[in-house]
Amino acid sequence: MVENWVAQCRTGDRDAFASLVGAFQQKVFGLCWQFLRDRQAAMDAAADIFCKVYAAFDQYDSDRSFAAWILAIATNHLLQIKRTERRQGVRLEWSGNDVADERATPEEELLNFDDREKVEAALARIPDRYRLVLYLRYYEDLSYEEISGVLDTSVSTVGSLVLRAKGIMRKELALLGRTG
Amino acid sequence: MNQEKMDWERKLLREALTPPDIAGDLSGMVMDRIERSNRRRTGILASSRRVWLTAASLLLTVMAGMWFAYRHSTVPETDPGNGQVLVESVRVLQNDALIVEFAGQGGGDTKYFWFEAQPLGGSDSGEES
Repeated sequence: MVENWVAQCRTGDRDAFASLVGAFQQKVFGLCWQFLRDRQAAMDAAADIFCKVYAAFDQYDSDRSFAAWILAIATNHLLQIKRTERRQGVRLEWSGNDVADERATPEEELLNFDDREKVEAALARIPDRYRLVLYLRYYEDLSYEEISGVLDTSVSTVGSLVLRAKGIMRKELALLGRTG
Repeated sequence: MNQEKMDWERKLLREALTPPDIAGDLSGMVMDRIERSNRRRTGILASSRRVWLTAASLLLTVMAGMWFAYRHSTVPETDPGNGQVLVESVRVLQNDALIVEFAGQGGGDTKYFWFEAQPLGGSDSGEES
């Protein structure tokens, strides 16, 4: 279905594009929400992202997953928004520690939390890139390979990013546990 | 035990990461933006074409003006009636040269003619410099 819509979009079929927007809007909006935490801003960003997608159909490689491609465009757009907000001209690096081993030990896997509200609060406090990685991994259920395609980085870097994200989450949860 | 706790944490994490429902259709907004952007691009193209046309016609006008000014400052005035050249003065020099001053704009134009000496009859052709 998606492949048909994509093929039709490439011939300039606007109805097919509207169908694609309908199919992927929640996915893109969800990602925007993780970055912006504001419904209107997230809607606005999602609309801009779909405009970019419309303009970039010629660059889409049909061997690649369309969802991963659209999420990659969305991620770049959101990072650009964040860069503009911070008035930094540098590209956000995805480098973690480049820990080669992406398999965490059972102790590292555990975050030690049991309260959803605290998790939400901790998620809101961690840096955007770590929240993004956790979102792609645990909400979108993407594999490390797929995430590396979205972030345009290596699989080992994704592994170390996930590990670091969880480490930061653990610290935040511990802090919230003490204060809460 | 650890596995159960991990699954529970994953579930909680997933729930905490769940964004609110978009509750609406983005396609209308997106199509509007694409339309606007297309119109803007078309407008920019049209206005840039207008700028080029204006610049080209200005350039042509300036060139025509320069050509007109050149012609009227260097070419002697002619009588509009019969096309004859108005001569201001003619002087004959010792070396058989004629100095002819034409009337014209910007102080007129001076031309020198040399004639070979022809005691009987003479020739009316000569070199111009």
